[in-house]
Amino acid sequence: MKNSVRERRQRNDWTQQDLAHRLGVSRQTVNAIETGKYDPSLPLAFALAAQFQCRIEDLFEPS
Amino acid sequence: MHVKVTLQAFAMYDRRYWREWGIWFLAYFVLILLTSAVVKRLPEDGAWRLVATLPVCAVALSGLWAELRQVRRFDEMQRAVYLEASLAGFWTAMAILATTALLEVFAGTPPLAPLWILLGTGIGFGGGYLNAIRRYR
Repeated sequence: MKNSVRERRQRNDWTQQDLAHRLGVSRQTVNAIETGKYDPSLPLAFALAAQFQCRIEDLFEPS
Repeated sequence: MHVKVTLQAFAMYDRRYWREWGIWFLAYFVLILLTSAVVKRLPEDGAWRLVATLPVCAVALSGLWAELRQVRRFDEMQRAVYLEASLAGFWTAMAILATTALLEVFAGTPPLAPLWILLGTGIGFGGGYLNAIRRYR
């Protein structure tokens, strides 16, 4: 699944560690989501959307 | 690259886990030595031998407590990695056990020492762990 997590994170000037801390996950998990190697669960996708103040469908799109 | 992947695997476990695991391992090791000393002094066919091994079995099982506490602290991707590693370890152990047991029954091969099964489980778990970590990095 494609996503715009990296772009939005960089726009907010956050490091992967910053975002991981905000979400309560590891930096490796944020990295895996950004590179599309791991698709997050629905609760984590909602948490991501809340951090970027957008909808889940704005953040993720089927590849 | 292999070193980095291995380090990342260890990084999944936090300091609290290593502290709890260290305490558990020390207790287990000391109790193994104590139990060995006690069991040697008991008659070979006595039921007390079995009773004497119960504390060390209980401590061995309590290692699961440290493991479960760490798994609860894992995030969802780390749990996915852990699940894959656990399945790899479990299936390796089952494959070794089933194969050696069947060969023992049908071909009369000598039984395999439990330490080899333990080693196989560890290798299976470690291999599964590194494989999963590498896929997600």
